[in-house]
Amino acid sequence: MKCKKCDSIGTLAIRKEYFFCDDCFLSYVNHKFRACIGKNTKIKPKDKALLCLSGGSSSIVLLDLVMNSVSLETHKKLRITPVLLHITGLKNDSLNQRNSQLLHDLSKKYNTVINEVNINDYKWKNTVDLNFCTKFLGLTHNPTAKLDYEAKIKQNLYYEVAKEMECNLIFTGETNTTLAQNLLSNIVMGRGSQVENDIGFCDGRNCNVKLLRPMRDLSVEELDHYKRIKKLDSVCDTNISVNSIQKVISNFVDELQTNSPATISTICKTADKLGTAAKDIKESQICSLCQSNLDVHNSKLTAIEAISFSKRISSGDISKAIKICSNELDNVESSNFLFPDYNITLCYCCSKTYSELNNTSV
Amino acid sequence: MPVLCKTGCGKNAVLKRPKTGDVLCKDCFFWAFETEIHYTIIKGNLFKSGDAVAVAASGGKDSTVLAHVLKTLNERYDYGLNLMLLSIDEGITGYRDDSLETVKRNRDDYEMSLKILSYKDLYGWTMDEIVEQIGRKNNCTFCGVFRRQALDRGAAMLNVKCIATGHNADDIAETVLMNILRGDIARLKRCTAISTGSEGTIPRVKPLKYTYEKEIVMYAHYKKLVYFSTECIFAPNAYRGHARALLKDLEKIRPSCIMDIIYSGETMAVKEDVSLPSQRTCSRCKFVSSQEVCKACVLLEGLNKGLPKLGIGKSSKAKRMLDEYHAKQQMSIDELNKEFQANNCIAKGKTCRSGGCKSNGLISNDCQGNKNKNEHLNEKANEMLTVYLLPDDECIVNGISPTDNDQENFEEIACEGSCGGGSISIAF
Repeated sequence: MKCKKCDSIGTLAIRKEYFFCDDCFLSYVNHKFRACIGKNTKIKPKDKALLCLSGGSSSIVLLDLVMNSVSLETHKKLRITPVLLHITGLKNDSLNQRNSQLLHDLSKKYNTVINEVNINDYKWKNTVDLNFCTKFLGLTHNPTAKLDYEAKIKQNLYYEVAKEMECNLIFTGETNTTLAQNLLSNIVMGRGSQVENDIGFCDGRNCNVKLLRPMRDLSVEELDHYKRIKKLDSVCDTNISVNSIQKVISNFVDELQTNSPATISTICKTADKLGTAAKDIKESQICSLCQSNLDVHNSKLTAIEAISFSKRISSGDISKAIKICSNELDNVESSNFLFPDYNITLCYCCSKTYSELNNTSV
Repeated sequence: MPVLCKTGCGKNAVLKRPKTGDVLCKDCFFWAFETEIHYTIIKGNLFKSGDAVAVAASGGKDSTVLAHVLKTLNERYDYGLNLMLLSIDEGITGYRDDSLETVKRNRDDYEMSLKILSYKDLYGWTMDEIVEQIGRKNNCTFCGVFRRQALDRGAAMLNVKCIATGHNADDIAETVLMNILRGDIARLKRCTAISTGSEGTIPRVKPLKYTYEKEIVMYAHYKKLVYFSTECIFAPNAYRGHARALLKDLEKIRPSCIMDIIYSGETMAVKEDVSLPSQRTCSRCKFVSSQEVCKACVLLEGLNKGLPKLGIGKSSKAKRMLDEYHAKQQMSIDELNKEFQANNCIAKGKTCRSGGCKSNGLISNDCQGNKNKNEHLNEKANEMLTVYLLPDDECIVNGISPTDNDQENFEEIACEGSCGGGSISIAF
């Protein structure tokens, strides 16, 4: 088969349909990456960007794409100063070591240095109330909540480090495959109002630092070809526990994608169109774990009210329940009723995660 | 060892609630189950005192429990509602015929009136016949689109203020997931609303929105309600199956995810700069539509023209198919009309009952039958009949005997359906 760009012989096929030769493919991936940054116009010249690298394939490719763009001498040069960050302490020791080694080697190759931060040893300075931050990371009784919590803590650490290093941008390496999975996980865990920031190109919840996802138009399939052609190594970075919501969703998306190849792009396009239902959010309080707005709905009756009413009624609080129905009593303190550990500064989902992690007896 | 009911009533618990994980005795479960629906109705402002409400009844567990609970609550809390049952007969042998028997039992048990509308009467096609045309793929599209409109028609005939449907929490969570997977942003926006319907349409409400499917099954079981539990014989190939399978897997890990998904749906919104189809009325049938011509009309047209795939897939494809079809038909229409005039009008000597009819026996569709003798029908129904009544002439033309003068509106509309099967000059 012939390459769809030039007439030479194609060496690879994307989605079993589009053929490319190696050279055209590399410029195609690079173009997609640059187009994603360009069309979103969030970057100004002389910005300082923190590249968050796990050692997995997407972060390796992100590093390669950024370093190549930065070192260009043409007008296409990407005018940012990259700062490399690797967070350790989230995986087991042997994996940690392999990751570190790989990233050190790579940074040498690009003539730069990598900053390593161990999440367990980090002294939080800027974030308000995260004294509970790392005590849950070793727990295993609830993989769903743990993964959710880990992701939020990691993101907080990105912001901390970015502030420390005086970066005003953060680059993370989520591919569209990851983002499709994250979108569904978000929905399933009740984070529907946070989709825009969690999945979109730019996460603007932190007012000083913007978190960008420049890899969001690339798929895992494309990364694998890129890595193969460029002879890049990566450490396998899947450590998702089998018995978690995230794993079930990731398996589901993979399977559906195999049978109907438009699945992931459809999900991502849906994500681009979603915002939050809350109208006036300027006055709203902010969740101290995920930085989302706490007031996210306008209507009187939501699933939270319904489930807290259910809790109330099936634990014998009957007289109050009757009063609530006849509008004599407001169904307030609903979240406290749901989560004994509820903190007034956490959103619904973060309270839930926090409660489930705290409840080690289950 | 027996466990005590968590409410502290002193009785032994018989079940663990899927929704909250609490253990309850039978009576406390009944009370909790019913009061939660009451809470939903009150907080959601679903009904007004004095309203006539149609309960969309399929004979399945959801609608049976809905009818039972609404009747119970209506008496207990004095809602002042006039409840009635409304059923749609899709014409699926081995499924709907049996379930309708269950609905008839519900009618007797709950002492509510029952109205049954059938696809055959409304559209001229049973689902069995449609599946024969379209095959096992995409058939749920027809069934879903037709049922939606059939319920609207039924509600207009019954002159009710709203339709209560038995959608439960699982259904809604499943729909949210499905609409994300399909990228159906317009439906995603409205699928978690507890009450849907805009000006001029009859609203639909979902009193079971926050009720778990498993608890509905338990309630029906312990209350010994009679319901029909077979799954539709045509359903297994539907896309919804993917979302359903995913939800079942997720529920095993975290039962609360059903409510969480609904919460997600309630708290997210479509960005303002995204253009959405606006709701309007179909230029042909005057029912709710997002297009010039509603989906039901397109699908029906496709069936009647022998192009069952017409309403499936892209509209550009449909246009091309129609153009080809019209080119072919044009000549035969001319021939038919000529022949007809030559053969002495069959309708000759019979007065046109609908009065406003200008038809001279030729095949055309600009007739305006509007004599409605049944004054008890509301304006909406009148309006509908204006559109749906066809003059006798056309029925004869199409080889179907005209309806009897004394028959009910319902059957007169039915005439339209069957006539529609043969009318060929309806332009798109």
